[in-house]
Amino acid sequence: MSGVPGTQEEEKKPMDQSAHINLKVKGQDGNEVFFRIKRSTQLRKLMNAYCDRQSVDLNAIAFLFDGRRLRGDQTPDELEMEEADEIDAMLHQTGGGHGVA
Amino acid sequence: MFVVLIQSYITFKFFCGMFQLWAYTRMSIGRCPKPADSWKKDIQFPLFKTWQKRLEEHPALATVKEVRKQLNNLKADGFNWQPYHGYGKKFVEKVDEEVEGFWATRAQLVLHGEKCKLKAHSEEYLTRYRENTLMFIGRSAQMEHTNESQAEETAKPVEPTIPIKHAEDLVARLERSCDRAERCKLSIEKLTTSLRKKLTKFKGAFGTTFEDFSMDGCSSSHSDEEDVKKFTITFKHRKRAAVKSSGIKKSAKRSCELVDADPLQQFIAEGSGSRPHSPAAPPIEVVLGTPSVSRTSFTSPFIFSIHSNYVLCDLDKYFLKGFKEYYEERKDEFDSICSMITSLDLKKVLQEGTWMDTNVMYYYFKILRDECDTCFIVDPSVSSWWSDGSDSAVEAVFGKHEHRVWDAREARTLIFIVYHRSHFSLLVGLVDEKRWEFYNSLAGDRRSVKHASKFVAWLNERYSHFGWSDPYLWGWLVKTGIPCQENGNDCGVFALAFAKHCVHRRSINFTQEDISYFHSKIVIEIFKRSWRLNANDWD
Repeated sequence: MSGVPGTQEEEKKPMDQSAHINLKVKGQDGNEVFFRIKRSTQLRKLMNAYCDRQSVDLNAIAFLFDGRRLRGDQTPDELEMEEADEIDAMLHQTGGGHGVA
Repeated sequence: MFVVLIQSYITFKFFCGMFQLWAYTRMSIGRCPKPADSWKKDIQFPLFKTWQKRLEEHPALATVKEVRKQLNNLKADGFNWQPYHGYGKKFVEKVDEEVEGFWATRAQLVLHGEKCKLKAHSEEYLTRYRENTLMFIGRSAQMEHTNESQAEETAKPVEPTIPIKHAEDLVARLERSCDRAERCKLSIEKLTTSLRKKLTKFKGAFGTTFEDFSMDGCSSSHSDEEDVKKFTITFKHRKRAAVKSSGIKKSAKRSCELVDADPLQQFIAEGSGSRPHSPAAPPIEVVLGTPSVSRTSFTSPFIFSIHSNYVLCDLDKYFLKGFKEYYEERKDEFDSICSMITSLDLKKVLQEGTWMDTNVMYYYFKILRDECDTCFIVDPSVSSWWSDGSDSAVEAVFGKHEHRVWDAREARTLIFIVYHRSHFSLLVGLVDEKRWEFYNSLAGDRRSVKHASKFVAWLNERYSHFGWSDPYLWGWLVKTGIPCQENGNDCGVFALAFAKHCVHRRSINFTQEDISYFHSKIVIEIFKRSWRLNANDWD
């Protein structure tokens, strides 16, 4: 975004801003990771990137937005996400009973 | 002049305060019922300050719109008709004394003061009144819907009949459905072609195991023709029924909805049998009851039902066989069908001795929600988020702006999973019977019961903060005499099985031996749903 100021650049900027969105993914431990993706990109890309960075399995994590789980094929546009919205990344729980625990 | 201004300001403040005090003591809005001792400590005079403070804690509640919404939804039992009941004679006498003194100083003004010279209800005032007053009581969605017709409505003071717009809408829908009934032959052809398309895709996913099934299935042209005939007859019949029932508005509307709905959805609705409010729709029953057996068995992927004897039906067996047999070589294909759940997760559920995962539970809950629209189910991880003190729990249960509180209020059954020390149990809120029930598959497990009761206390407290104090008064029952797990792995499956029975209000009579049925059923249902969601090439 640190382009040389000029007439052409200025025209481009607003277009660029509306097409992209900054999202924050907050882990269960409170760590925050920031992502910048296109509004029309599937969130799968963000999820994969987050899991790679945190070196966890994608299947072990639920991504939540407004208390609901996200699917990989959804896009920020579809979910009407706004700038700087927060996504929670929560681990799944497994359980069987006290006997084994 | 200045003194007068000050006085009128005080009077205004005073009356506002009186009104708020009145509201605080009598209405369950913005109020949190607390145990007796802390309630006394908490109280501070003037009382309306307390009310204000409480509302400030929840800024979303303090907006005019929110308070209005709550007032609109106030039921008879949400209003305390006898606020001083139980306070004792002394208190009443004291109040009487104080009120009497207060009254004596003002009585002269009221009785003998000058009459107000302002015209009480000027035309200007009435216009303003109509514009700013809610004429309809109910949820905000409905209010917004009727907003447009408000002006006409208020002009006629009596006869609260159905708004004209609704009636027009109804007639339009009726006409549309009749029109559709005439064109039904065309749409039936479309239906059969798309069904056939689906079948091909279906077969693709399961390979040759499905071949035997489809041979006697509906892909043969002969049965197709027969079905078209059946459909034609049914639709004619339906048209007549729709015209007949146009007099009774409600049932006519219902039949319109049925006609408008996606044909697949109709099968689901009928198959589940879980909508007690929907009137019996004879046309669809006729469709399902066609003599051709193959037809019925083909539609069965879209039908959910509890088998009384917990035995998989033939098609489910095919599904399972196909899944197991082709799992290795068609793994990627399976994964593309199930969107956020992998086939590996599903395969794990089938293996004996593995623990249940909240991800699998989540997707199974989605199926339960599809089966029954009167239940309110939240994310299965909620209780563990709650014990971690995470905000996600609040958002998942009540919504970001408390909108999910209203969903819960309108539901019949609330379903929560309680997770404590690697053990899943089930908490059910029976809204109509005003009771919390706790289902635990581990007999004599006191720790989970204790944990669950804390969780319920939290739910109650939050709900009453958000203006729904009913759950606070509900009974609390730890269910006994329910099936128990005989190993250390199956608690998740037990919890889901309990949930399924509670949602449909069926009596629970399965045992540990039937649990393998539920293992398979969970996998099959999730896979079917994912497949159905992915194959939306209808039009």
